[in-house]
Amino acid sequence: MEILSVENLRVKLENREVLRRVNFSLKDGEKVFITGPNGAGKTTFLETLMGFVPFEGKISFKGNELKSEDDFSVLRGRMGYVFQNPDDQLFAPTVEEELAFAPLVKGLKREQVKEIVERTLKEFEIEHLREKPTYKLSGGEKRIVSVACVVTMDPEVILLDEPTTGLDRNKWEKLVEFFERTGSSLIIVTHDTKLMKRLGWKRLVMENGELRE
Amino acid sequence: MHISEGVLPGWCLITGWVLTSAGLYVGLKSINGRKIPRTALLSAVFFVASLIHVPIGVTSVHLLLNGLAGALLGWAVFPALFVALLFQALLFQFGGITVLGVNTFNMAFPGVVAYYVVKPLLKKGTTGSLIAAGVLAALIGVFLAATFVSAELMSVGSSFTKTAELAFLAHIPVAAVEMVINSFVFLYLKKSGIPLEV
Amino acid sequence: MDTATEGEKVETPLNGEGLLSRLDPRVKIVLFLVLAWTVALAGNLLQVFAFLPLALLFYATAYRKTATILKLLLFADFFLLFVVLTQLFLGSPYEGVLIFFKSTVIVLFSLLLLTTSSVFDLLHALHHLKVPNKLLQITFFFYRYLFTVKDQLQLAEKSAKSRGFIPKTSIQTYKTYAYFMGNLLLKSYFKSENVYKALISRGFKGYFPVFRHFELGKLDVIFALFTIIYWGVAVWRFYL
Repeated sequence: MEILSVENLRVKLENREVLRRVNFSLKDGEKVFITGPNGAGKTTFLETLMGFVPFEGKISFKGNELKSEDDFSVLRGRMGYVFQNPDDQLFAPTVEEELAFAPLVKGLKREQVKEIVERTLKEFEIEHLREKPTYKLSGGEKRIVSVACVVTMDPEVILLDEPTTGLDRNKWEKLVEFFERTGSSLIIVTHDTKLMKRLGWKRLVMENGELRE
Repeated sequence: MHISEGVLPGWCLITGWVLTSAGLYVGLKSINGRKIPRTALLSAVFFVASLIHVPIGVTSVHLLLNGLAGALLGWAVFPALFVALLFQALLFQFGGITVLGVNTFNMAFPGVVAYYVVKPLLKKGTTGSLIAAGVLAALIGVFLAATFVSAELMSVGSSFTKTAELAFLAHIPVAAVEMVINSFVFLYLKKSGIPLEV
Repeated sequence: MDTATEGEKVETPLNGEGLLSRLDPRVKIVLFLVLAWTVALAGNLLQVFAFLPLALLFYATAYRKTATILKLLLFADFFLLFVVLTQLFLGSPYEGVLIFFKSTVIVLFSLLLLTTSSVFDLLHALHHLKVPNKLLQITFFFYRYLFTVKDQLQLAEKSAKSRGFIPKTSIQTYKTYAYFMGNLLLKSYFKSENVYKALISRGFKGYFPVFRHFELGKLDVIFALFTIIYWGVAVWRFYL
């Protein structure tokens, strides 16, 4: 079943056509890479899917077309987004609170939230960072936390913008294992050829605002 | 709430400038070196944060945050809020230049009062005392400012009784929201290990 | 965290617009203070109307920005609206009308005399007008990083939204806003440390060297004389 579909997507920013006629679809559980030169519109594409950028064309989630800010704000609880720069994404005082944010916003009970946070801390092997302020984390730790705090939302799709940049061998491995394991659909924007080779998923190329296989 | 140009009588505007000049003098004397950029950056934070529409019921409010600013900055709250209000006047024409003295005093003086009141609570640093500090900073900051604004409006003349009353009442939801927000901000800074007195 | 947008600026609404933008900001600031205070001290409508033609004449130099000016005059100031309405319906209608015109005339002077210069030129002029240096430094840094701070707030909002945050009346919402503020305070705290280190490592001694100096031109003198004579006549005829 198609979870996400995009038809004739066009985005203009400051009078420049950043995306022109993008067609794309993602099946439930499907995982894909998007690659391509800098400034090709990859980040804009992810932001458009999240509803942060005005667009022309059609975006549908599970067959329902998304038009207004309201449509997107409902969707956002089900579709996660990992920013290119973790410093821009993390805003809570500690790692624990960062992870608890999404389930709390969902309105889950304290005990449930606690359980989810514990499980995720364990899953990413970051239990020791629990009470650490996010600004005191290393670059790699920030990246792991920026993925983990989206995972606690239990999203059906996760959009990731260059998630493996600046990771050491060990953290890279941990993150790749998560990508393999997770039941969520994934769209990963990346330049990491090792990652693409290792996972071998479908590779899409974004060039001059167009997306092709 | 910033009083606009053309509302208050001359003596009130001049008194405002005199008091604010005194506050600026003390405030500027208290900052040197690294505290100069720090005051400026925190001032920018309060400027930006006061533009957020915070929902309450069917409407939304802007926050004053002067109690919080005072608690963190001490007397430097005078230059910090003076600059923020100057830019509100220049960029958006909120408030204005002749009322800048009054508006700065209305906001900054309660900030200084909040500073002395909550200082021991911040020093103690327990969750309870930080929440108490947040609540007190909001109550002192907002209600003292509201009292000044209303008193100044009353000074215009007897026809201003209703205007002054309504202006005071409009501050109540702001105080309620700020109590919660200030408390969480203090807890946030504590958890982050940032000195609570910057 | 330096973002690419750091250089972007928030500018004065009429920066560079019309004839008045070409005048020396020192002259304009002084004239503004004289005019604004005179109108602020007005006790009746006649005294305010004495300055309306001058304000309208200034406005004429930037008539192409009428939409911007009207927007700032009418909608920017919720407090003015509140005072005028409460006076019209619950207090003294005359006071309401008087305040409306006083405020409008002063704001017109402010828009046309102050905001036709760039923020940086205004700060520079204030330096020449002997405003304390420390205060100007704070103003300068404030302005320099205002956009960065605003940008950071927007990113945090985006991050929260992308995790399902929808603002409503709830403790969770207020806590989220508090986290945004805590986050901004924290980042600004560290940013200011870096700014300070960068400054002292460049030998900063607490004052900014200014490359361009203002020169009083013929146009400035004519404009100042005209305005002062207008002011003198208006005060003599309507105030004394």
